[in-house]
Amino acid sequence: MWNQELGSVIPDLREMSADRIAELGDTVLAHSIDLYFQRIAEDSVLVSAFNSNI
Amino acid sequence: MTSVGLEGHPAPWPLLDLDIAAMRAAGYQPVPFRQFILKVHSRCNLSCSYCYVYEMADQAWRGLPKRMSPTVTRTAVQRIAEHADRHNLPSVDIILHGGEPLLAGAEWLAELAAMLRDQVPARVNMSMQTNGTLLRRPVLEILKSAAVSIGVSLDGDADATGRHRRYADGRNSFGDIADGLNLLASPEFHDCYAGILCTIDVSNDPIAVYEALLAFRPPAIDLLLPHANWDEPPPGTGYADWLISVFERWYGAPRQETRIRLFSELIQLVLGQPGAVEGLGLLPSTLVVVDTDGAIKELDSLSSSYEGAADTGLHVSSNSFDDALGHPTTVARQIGAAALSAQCQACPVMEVCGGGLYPHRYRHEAGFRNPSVYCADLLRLIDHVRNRVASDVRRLTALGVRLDLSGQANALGHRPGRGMLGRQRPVIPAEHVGDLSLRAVFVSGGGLVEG
Repeated sequence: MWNQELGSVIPDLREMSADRIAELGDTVLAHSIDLYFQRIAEDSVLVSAFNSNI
Repeated sequence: MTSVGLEGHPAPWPLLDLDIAAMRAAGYQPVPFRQFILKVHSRCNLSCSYCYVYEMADQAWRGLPKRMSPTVTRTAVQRIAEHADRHNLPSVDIILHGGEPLLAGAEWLAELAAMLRDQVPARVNMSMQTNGTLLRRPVLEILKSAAVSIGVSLDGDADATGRHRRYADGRNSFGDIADGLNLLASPEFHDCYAGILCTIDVSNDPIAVYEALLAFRPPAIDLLLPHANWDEPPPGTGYADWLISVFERWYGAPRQETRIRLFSELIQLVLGQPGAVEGLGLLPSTLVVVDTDGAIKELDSLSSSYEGAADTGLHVSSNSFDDALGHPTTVARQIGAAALSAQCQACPVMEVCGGGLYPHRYRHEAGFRNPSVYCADLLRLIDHVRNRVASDVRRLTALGVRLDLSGQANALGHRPGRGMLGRQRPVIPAEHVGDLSLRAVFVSGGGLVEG
């Protein structure tokens, strides 16, 4: 519900061009967008234990 | 501290009130376990003041064997293999834990890793969580050869670590941990380096803590809220401020210096992806624990709630892990929003917060269907991260609009925002490209740029 609201404001990153992402360099946001795309490519995301598996 | 048998039931929800039979009749299917914590040694060479194993409600460790016996070890491996085979799992994560797992001996751990890889019909990812005091070259050479990745617990610099992570005689453990971490961070062993776990103490300066951890070049850091619940409140206040300070230092760096898992997963959730950490989001937990004596247990840190909170009454000698999938606590940790309180279900950030870490929801004689005792801190942190990320992504998008509409300097207008953000949203007025939302404009703009 909340993400849908947010989604109306944050663009769908899947539509963002590689050039635009490259502008972010090596920042945290760039890494976060990379991870976002990795998660989309995966069939499922596993929840890891908070205290055991970093 | 609370105990079973005093006054009412310590956790009627989920242990009494969650109607699993009705859920099954309605089609509920549990999610197989994928992560197995093996508590290979029940003792520790440190005496950390906040340890949920030795210093909190559950003192069951006193009756455990020191090291997992050969029979229990073999049986646990067989049960994991059985579970992987039955559910056709592509991989399993094995986390060696304790107590201090290195007290079991590095060669013993390597033999266990070999046994698991030999018998489990799935890829076996081995890791270990250690206090770091025993990490020396011969140990690391053995663990490297056994492909065991290593996470170390450290709370910051010497002063920060010395507040809690001490030997039984009171000595600060920092120097010994630092020696181990420096070796682990060296090129020879860096491939085995999983990262650092840090338990937050708000008495410590947040930036100093982060930079002290960073000095050991960890590939990842995680920041843990101290275990607490509604009966045993957090030891301090201001956790949101503390975390936001670290977030800004980390997020604002010109390059990502390390991954901070709490924040990385929060950003994924803000962007609309599931978060891969227990304690945020609504994904089902797939973790189970085998104690040193072979008992099958729930999330280890439940021991901080009340005596016996992590118990299932199951044992690897007579029960499969499928039996544990039907335990009320497992079910509660797998059903997402359905396990949350009415207050959480009505909260606009429920999908991101997920109710917080399960043990932090505990209240005696009510159980676990409550908001986290850290609710207010989580809400502030989530709000901050959401606004920061939304602002940056909007800025990126605004750049796209400017590029697309060069020569039309007045093309970008604003209208009131809606929903959680409550801010003005840039739009293109109808006379230019029609009354499109920012997202639609960006999608169209992307096409223009690429075309």
